[in-house]
Order: sequence, then structure tokens, then C-alpha cells
Amino acid sequence: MSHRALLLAAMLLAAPVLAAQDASSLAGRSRDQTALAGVDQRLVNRFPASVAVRLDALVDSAASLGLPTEPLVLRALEGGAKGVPADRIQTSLSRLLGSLGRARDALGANTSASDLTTAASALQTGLEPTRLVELRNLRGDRSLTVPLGAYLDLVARGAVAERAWQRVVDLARRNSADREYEQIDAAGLVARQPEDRR
Amino acid sequence: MIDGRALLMLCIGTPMVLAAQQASFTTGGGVARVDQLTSGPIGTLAADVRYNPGPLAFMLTGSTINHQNLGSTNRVRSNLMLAGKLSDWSINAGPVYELASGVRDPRRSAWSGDVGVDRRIGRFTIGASAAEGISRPDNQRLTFGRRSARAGVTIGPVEVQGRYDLLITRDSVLRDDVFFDPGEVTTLGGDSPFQSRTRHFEDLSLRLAVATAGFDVRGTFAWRSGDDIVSQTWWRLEAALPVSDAATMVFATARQPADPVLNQRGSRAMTLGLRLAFSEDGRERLPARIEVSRESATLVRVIFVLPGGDSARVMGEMTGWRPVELEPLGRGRFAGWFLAPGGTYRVNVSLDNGPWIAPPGMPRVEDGFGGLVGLIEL
Repeated sequence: MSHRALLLAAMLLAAPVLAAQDASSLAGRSRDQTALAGVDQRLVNRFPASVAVRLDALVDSAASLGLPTEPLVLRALEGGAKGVPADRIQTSLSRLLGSLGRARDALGANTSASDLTTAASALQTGLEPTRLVELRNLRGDRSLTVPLGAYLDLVARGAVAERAWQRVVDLARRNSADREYEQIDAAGLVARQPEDRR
Repeated sequence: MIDGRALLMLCIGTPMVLAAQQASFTTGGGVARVDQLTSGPIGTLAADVRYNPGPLAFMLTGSTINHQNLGSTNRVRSNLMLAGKLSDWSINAGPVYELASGVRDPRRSAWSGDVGVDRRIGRFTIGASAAEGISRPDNQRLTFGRRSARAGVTIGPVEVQGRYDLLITRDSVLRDDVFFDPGEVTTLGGDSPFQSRTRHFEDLSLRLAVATAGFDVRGTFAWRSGDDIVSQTWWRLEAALPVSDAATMVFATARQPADPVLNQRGSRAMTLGLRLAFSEDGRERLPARIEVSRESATLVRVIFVLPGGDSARVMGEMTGWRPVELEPLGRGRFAGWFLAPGGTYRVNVSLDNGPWIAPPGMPRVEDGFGGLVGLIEL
């Protein structure tokens, strides 16, 4: 038997298998496309289909609760860009969703998405929701993003949370300009005995 | 993931020690010895220098206590630690050098390699560390190991930590069956008159810290037990009252345990002093790290000041978290155009394809994934 005849025989034997695989692949793709209907396109483009669907379910939960969804999508994209495993992204989104809800409960339904997102981050550091109400009352209609951002910045720099919060609230009481929040020096707010930190 | 800012903090304490007492109870070869030092008012000088260039941290702490008409006790400890993050864990590793001398004790030093891991889970913290080192007390070779496990919880301004520390020392002592004769040394069996000895010292401690808007109180209460020592308690209590951003009034009382590695006696002291701190946080002393010029309601040009790199990338909420190459303008300045309505955006930058960091000179927050992210107002 010539080489050409052997090759032809092999192709005939393999054809049904290849055809079955191709049909299976098409069916899988079709299932994916069905499942991905309505999923945020940015999640679809960035994550495997199964992950995108799981993350989008949390985004849907936020929408059904009347919470902003963009912060959740952006947090998922951030995790994806930083190579964070899907399970940890999902956990982070769940925490953010819960914090957004608590922030909305404390600040009211008319709060801007920017304020809600920053307030949610503050709650995740252990800040009590009543503190948000205190700041809301002091700031009136003005945005909370700058004072809360300053608070989060100070905590990230190692400041004692209670001390950082008091400094922020002091400025709010004095009706200070936003730039004054950015000039708070973290050095005076850290714990006084750093050698005991371990 | 790694904060690249530089932090230099110098603390100079000049506490006046109101009362101090050093005492130790040692046994050796069946002979018990009690040493005790007492003195009237004496002075101390302590310094704490820290420098954090990127992932490296250098810490040098030292103190000298002058005992009137007796002499002084001195301690120095320096660490050079490499810090990083692995998943949600903070990891520190590096060499430690310790030096100590007492009124009646010669100077002794020890080298060790230290590695530790810590993790914060919401209000809870857990951590562990281990070290192996060598010292030469009294011209004898002593190796030692330190193991530590800790867990803590923060409830409002109160932080509670439980901790277990184990110190293992390995040295040698004369064998029981060795007798010295003025004329000759006789040993029974074996070639060496010495036998190896391993001792364990355990500290079980509870640390309590209260950091309020006005003051700090920190206390450590511990129980020590181990081989060849009498079990004992030791404690340290310190109250710090800031009187300005740079100065803090400190009141402390302590009963310190002995240090078997550096062979230092335990001590007891009460201190009232003033601690001065100087720090460079970077933000105030550096020029503006970002320039924002809005061209329209949606188009904005941002110049990042990132000294020390030839190329820079940025990714953030305004780029859909996709890396974008910035245009180098020279002298550490990099520019980018973004379609972004006015608002606050989370952002990271990377210099020379290095790790993604929070841009220096702007507010930063934890990103929820174990790193930091900058907040930029556009």
C-alpha cells in the first residue's frame, strides 16, 4: 500500500472523531454565548466565560438593590489586570457590594456613586457607619470623596485610624477647603511606639 | 505592591529614669549568685532611626542608661529587612545585629537571620517569625533560635494581641564527671570535658494597645518559663501623650526579663521622658507629583512626575484597567491623554516595567487585593 493510500485511510478513520469534536466545540460556544447574553461586555472581554458570568451575577445583585454597578465592574477589571485569581476577585466584589449597601444605608439613596464608593472603602477599613453620618452632617451637600479619601490615605500610610478620623472631622467642623485635607501630615498620627508593632 | 516612598523617622528620647534596679539570679555548677544594682536618679538616651527605600527597610535602635557612679548599660539593635507581599501575606526577611553591655558585664554581640510573615484579615491579624543566630558570650560559641507566633484583633481603638515566643539556646557546659587537679586535668570517658547543652525559654504574653485621638497606652504582660530558670512574670507599660506633631511625653514602667543570648540581667525601671520625632513623609517636601489639565468635559491630560525611570505605564479606572504607555517628557515627567469625565479615579503606575505601585505624592488606599492604589482627581 502506498503512502498516499495510508494517509487517505487515516483521514477516513479520523473524520468522524474530528467532526464530533467540532460539533461539540460549536455546541459549547453556543452555550457560552447564551450564558453571556446580558453580561457586561468588558467582563466578557477580560475573563473566561464562566468567571464573567459569576462576576456579573454580583453586578446584577447591585443593580437589583439600586446600587451603582460601575464600581463593581471596575474592581473586577482591576483584579483581572493585576492577575488576581478569580475566586479572590469574587470575594473582593462581594465585600464591596456589602459595603456599598451599608454606605447607602448610612448616607441615603441620593448619595453620588463617587461618595458611595469611597465610603464603602472606608467601611472596609473598620470605620463605623455612624461616622459617615457624622461627616455627612458636617459637610452638608458637599462631596465626601475628598475627606474620606484623605482618611483612607492616612490609614494606608500607617496612621492610627481613630486619630486620622479625628483630624478629618476637625477640618470638616472648621469647614476647611479640600486642599487642607490633602495637607494632613501622617507623621503626627502614627502610633508612638513603632517598635511594638510586631 | 510595594510602597516606594521614603520614610525617615528619627526618635530621640531623653527620659529621666526615676528609679532603676537590675537584678539577676543565676546558677552555675551548683553555685547560686544574686546580682543586684540599684541607683538613684540616672539618665538615658535612646534613638530609633528608620529608613524605607522601596522594599528595603533599615532600622537601628539603641539606648544607653547611665547609672550614677556605677557605669552604664548599652543596647543596640539593627535590622536590614527586605519586605514584600505574597498574596495577602506580608513577608519580611533579613539580618539582625544586636549588641549589649552592662555595668559589670562585658560587651556581647549576636548575629541572626530573621524571617517573618503577617496577614491582616479584616479586624484580625496573624503572624509568625523565626530566626537562627550565633553569639559568643564569654568566648564561648552559642547558637540560638527564636520562634514566634502571634494573633491579634482590633476593636475600635483597642488592639489586643496574644503572642508565644520560644528561645532555644545551644551551648556547652562542663561535664558532671570532670574534676580539676592543680597538677593535671583528668577527664573520665570521652575526649572533651564539655558536653553540649540545649535550653528552652518560653514567653507567653498578652499585648494591649489603645490608640485614641489624644494618647496611646500600650502594655505587655508576660509569663516566662524555661530550663534552669525560675518562672517569672515580666511586664512593660507605656503611656504616650503627644504634645505636638514632633514631641511626645512618655511615661513608662517595666520589669524586663533577662536576655539569655546577650547574657543581660533582667531589670526594672520607671521612666518619664520626652520623645522627639522627625519624619519625612515626602508629600510636603516634594514638588507636585501630578499635573492635570482638562481640555474638555471628557478629555483630560495628565502629567505624572515619576523620577528615576526611562519609561512609565499607567492603568486605572480611566483606562478600563488596561496598561497605557505614557509619553516621556524628560526629567522624570510622563504625560498621557485620557477620556475621563471629572471625578475620582483609582490608578496604578509602573516605572521601567516594574511592579504596579500607587503613584507617589497622591492619596492612596488599599486596593482590596493586598496592594495599594492611588486616588487621582481628574
